[in-house]
Amino acid sequence: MTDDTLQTVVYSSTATQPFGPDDLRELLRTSRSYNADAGLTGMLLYRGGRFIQVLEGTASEVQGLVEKIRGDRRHTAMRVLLREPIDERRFADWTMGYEPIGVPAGDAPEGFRDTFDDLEADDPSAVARAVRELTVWFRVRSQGVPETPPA
Amino acid sequence: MATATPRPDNGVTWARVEDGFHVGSRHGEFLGYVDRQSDGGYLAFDAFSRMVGRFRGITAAMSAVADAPGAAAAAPTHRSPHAEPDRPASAEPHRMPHDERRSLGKATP
Repeated sequence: MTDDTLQTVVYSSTATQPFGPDDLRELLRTSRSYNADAGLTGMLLYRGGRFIQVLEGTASEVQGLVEKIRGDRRHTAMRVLLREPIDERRFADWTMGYEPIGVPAGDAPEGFRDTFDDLEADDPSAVARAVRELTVWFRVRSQGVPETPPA
Repeated sequence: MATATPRPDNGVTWARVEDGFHVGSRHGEFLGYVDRQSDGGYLAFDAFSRMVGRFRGITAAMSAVADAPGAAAAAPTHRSPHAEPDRPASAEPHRMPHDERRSLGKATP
């Protein structure tokens, strides 16, 4: 039985081998092709050997891809950070958006939280906020200015 | 002894996404962001990504985000006593430099 509820899943995983530009290009090529056929959208980040991916689509398609990724030997230590229903897609224009992101030179300045630390925290509200922060960052880097504030 | 950049609070949670890019939230609501430019200055944007100012220092940029219209409705705000002098905000919409960051993967051609 299929579930057509619109859903987003965010997961993190660790690359089993370092991903160079060619590896990333190939990963994006196959993922965009699959997602276009499955009606999935989202974005991918690769930072310091770790993947963060946001997936959006029907619950059935998203879950199908999550299971597929779990079996992908290029990833390990996969962990679903957030799974929630959504009213509308935040990456509707992207079969799998990608922007290069740098690894900070040091800890976050005093008084600042680190988005990537929050992303893997046990606090659901911190995780949700971190995902929103990444969404803002991605929209700014990819499009210049988002047309609407993130939900 | 470590030195810390004085920063406005106003009940705002600030997070670093990457060096130079900081997002502010208050009570779970997205307020806006501050983006460091190649010249070392900072652009501040509200929750609708409208630029609210260009600043020499991050603290003034953060205050501008916290004090932006709309953000002010969420909680009382105050101007940080540590805010640096700033240049007038521009009414021009900000466009990111059109460099090689443009991604592939658009779902629509």
